[in-house]
Amino acid sequence: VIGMISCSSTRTLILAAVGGVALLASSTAYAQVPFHKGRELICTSNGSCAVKSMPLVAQCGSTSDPPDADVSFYCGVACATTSFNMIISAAYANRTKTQAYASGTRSPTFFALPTGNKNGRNSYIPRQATKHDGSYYPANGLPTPSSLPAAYTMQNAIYDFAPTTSPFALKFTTLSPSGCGINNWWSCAASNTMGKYFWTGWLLTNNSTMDNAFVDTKQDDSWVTMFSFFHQTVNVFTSGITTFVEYRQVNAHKVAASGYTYSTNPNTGTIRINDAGNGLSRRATIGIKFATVESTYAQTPNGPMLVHQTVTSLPLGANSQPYLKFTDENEIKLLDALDHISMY
Amino acid sequence: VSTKRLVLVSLLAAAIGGSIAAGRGRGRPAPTPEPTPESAALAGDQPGERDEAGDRSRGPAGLRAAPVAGAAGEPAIQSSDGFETLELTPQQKQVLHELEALGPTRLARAVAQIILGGYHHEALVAKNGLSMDEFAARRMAILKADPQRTLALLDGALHLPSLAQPDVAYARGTLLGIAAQLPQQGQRTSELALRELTERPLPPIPAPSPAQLRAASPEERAALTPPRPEYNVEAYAHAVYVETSPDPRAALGGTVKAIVAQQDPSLRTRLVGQLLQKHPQLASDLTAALASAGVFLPSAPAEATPSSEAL
Repeated sequence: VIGMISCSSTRTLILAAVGGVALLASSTAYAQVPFHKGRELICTSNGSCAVKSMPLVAQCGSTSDPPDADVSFYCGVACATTSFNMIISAAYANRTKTQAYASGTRSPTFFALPTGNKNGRNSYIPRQATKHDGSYYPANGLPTPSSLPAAYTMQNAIYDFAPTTSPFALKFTTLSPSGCGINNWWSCAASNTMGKYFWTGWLLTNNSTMDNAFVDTKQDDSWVTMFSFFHQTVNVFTSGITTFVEYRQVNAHKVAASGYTYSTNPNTGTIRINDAGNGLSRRATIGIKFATVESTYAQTPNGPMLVHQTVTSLPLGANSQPYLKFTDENEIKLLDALDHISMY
Repeated sequence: VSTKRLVLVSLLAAAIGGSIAAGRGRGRPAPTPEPTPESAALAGDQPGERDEAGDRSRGPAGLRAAPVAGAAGEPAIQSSDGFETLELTPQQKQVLHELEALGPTRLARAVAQIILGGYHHEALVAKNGLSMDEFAARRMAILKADPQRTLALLDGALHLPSLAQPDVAYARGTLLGIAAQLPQQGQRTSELALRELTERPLPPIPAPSPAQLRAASPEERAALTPPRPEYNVEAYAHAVYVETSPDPRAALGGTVKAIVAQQDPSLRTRLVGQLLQKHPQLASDLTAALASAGVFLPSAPAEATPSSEAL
């Protein structure tokens, strides 16, 4: 019934839900009425939303549910694969159930996907494994994109569900921009007549608009999202005259967004994260960090005098980058890219 | 606890000093400024003189700050806010030695303690209870009192072989920060900063090596990824240059020279950003000047490598 709702209608929805609580107050004083938002979210009246049917998978599995033998070798670097599994599983599970495949109102290229099992992980792994070892590329006459084993990314997924596999001649999926190819890692979207359903490599480097509200809105609009970001180490030198702050990139990571906690000011809320690295559900905030020179002056008879400067240097030549900070950690991790998927 | 103790000691010292000063002040000419503990700690010479006694008292590495008679009636060195107890690396000892050879000793020690103290700031704070700002401010008071000779010392220090190495780049950068605080030395400071930018060009930061990309853990990758503080220091030198340039047009001209000299794309982009943050009205002029110099910068910094995304 709720279906696609815009961001502006969200508050109205919440108010309606609060009204619902008031009606129930006589019988259950503190009852909260969960409600659906878009296709993916189940929310409570206090503004806490979670993505429905999203598995929480650790990239190296667990004792009781270890990774399959053919991919266990890659578990240390399989955060992208695992996060992708989580979000595609959620997107697939939350498709609009009333739309019929045969009528052409549902994304046809997802028809053949099996439902998830074994915590949503097993179904997709055999296909990923061939890409992990790089065999996908030569098998398809393509050059391998790097010397690394090719991780299974959203970009690969777009090609997995390529338009040539569609049984519907009129429902071919198109790629945007037209030049995006399997070796162009960033910024590629796939869409068909039902709209965009993949969007990978949303570049956030130097994008100052990324914040909690940005991600909240994406989720409200029925996109299931995952983030790519970099682990950082911070090196600080301070002499009392200058403070040099240097962020060094030491690794990359990907996690899936699994909801959020709304606040009056959206940026004081938190993003809920399914972290494939440790298999935990965690909360995080998003902000912007700048490569800056901050100066402090003192007024002297000769005019303002520079008394202290703090120089912050970011990696990768960035002048500003969003960052993701888990609430239970001091370490700041800079966010780099947002991938998201939507299914109809 | 150490802070409270320091406050008590400071109050006591102030009370004693105040009573002495009050005693001197009665019916007498205005007294000369009372030497502070830190000025005593740094005493080696009077302005314009070398402190030969101080030089002889030091050990081979010039580190032992045993009580030393100051020149011309200054009190003996009793303390240097814990600096003398630090365990300096051989390279840091060499920096100290070369700085003191430049002289004047009193100024050289103040400079050395500021630029080397930064490498031991946690130990210093633990030892003396001072913040690094306070530690530096005590020494800056001495340097500001003799700005011309301090600037000459800093100029010489920027030529020292021991301060040319990347692993002491932050010490080198701090030399420019000291210069920027000296009264009425803006023009000369901007010249030093521009010289730093144009005469020490840095190559482009190389792409990650295959070994770095194949690192199995963050720790392993960090071990394979060398820190590059010299790039941060060049950005800082430019910030000092922009702050001390006499006018925006001068800042523009020097920035173009610096960008032409420097080869790393990310550093070049950063210099553009720093100039325009201070003088946003120069955007079109800067673009034109760079084009005339044959430099065309991308509108956005280089993107992350695909390989880093793959993990």
